[in-house]
Amino acid sequence: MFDVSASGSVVKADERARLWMAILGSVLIASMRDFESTLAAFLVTLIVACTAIFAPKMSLPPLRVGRVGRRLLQINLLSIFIWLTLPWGWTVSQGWSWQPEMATQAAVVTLRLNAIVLWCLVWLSQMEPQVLASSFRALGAPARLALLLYLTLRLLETLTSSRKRLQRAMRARGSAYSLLRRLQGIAQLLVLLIAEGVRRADIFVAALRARGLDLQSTHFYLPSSVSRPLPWRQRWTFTAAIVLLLVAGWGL
Amino acid sequence: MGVQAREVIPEHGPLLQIKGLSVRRQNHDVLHAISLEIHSGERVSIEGAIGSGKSTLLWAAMGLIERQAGEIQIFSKPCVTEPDFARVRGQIALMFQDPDDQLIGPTVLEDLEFGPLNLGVDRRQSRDRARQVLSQLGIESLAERAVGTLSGGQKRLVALAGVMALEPRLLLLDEPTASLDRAAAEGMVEVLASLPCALVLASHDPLCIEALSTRRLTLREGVLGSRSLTG
Repeated sequence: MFDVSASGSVVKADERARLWMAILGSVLIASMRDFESTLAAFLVTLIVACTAIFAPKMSLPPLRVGRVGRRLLQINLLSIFIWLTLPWGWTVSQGWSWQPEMATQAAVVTLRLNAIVLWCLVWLSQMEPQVLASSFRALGAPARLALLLYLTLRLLETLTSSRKRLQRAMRARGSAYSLLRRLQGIAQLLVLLIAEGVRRADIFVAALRARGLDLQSTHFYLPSSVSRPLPWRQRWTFTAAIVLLLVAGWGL
Repeated sequence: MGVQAREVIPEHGPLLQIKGLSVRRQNHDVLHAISLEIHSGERVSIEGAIGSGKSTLLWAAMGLIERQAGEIQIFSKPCVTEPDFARVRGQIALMFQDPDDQLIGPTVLEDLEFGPLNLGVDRRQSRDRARQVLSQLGIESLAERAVGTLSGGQKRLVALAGVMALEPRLLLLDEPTASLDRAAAEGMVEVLASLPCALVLASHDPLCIEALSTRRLTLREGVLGSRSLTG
């Protein structure tokens, strides 16, 4: 599972193992329903992420604190909406009221969301789209699905550059001077990105068809770096990790 | 050869024949009763302002968008349904306006192999073909580069290489020199002038049109008209 460098430090995990860990861990976290187990899962994930950030040579692929912070900030914009809606109830007699059991649910959803994002960042950050798709394929996924995953990631990559371009264009027309203006800017950006995403997806599909791709057909092409065989590195470590994860899941 | 046999193309007759083509998009008539014939050896430019329907015409000719009326024959074969168009794609190819829409990657070489492999050419032949095209365009050094790391001009050349690797008999080009500086645009025009296939250029770049066109057409508010070569 891991590549051992000359100094003996374990620095690079096998891509398939990383993908497995991300999928299994996410499924496990998503299946948690009560507050205590979700909090425990979040804390475990936080410790693992801190290990990847502050002691990258111990076992995990290196992770940058700025990147983690930005991702968590973005994902928690969704949490704000959850907290603004879920714990509040309205009745004619009492008006707006705080509902503790719904607040617990909001906390579970928030913790679950953060734990899954952190866990996936730990295992999948800095993986190129073709490496992710080839790992998916090497784990036994059908070629068609691996190709779809690769193309989706490629489209997301293009959309990321569109987002940067739009943000630059918005900044060039004056920086936001107030929080309200900044929030309006984010809303505008989201609308523009959705429209751009739909437009780009349509053109992307047309470009694939123009270059002879027919996903309905039995004959289609998988790029060589997506279909390349991946040699296992230290299989026992991978097996041990899976067993540990399953045991932890059983216990929870 | 690969698993899919290439369609047998008649040597005579027009490569592309469009009769009475009308296209409506988002409640707006984009093309009105367009008729057009492209023959072997021709380089036809379609000029027109932004939004005049140039790209729509190329997309319709490739069968990538629905049409409301009209007939399209490619290599003398009527093309009505998606399988009709799918059979001739490769021999008629389209270079998109924005190379980012077209580049699949991950590396330049793999991107070039994408089309031929989809058309059933085997991996070895596809790779040979890709390397040959890169060499023809003088960009062999980019072969192993990731497509996301290329500059705008390089992306455009790689996008052209991607469609050239299909070995088309008719190449449709949507603004091939857009967003290129003068030197890069001249380089692109030189490459296009050296291609053996027939070309249809949707462009409003005078450099590109004057250097390449053997016939000039104009598209205004969805209606096609001819224009003399003296402009």
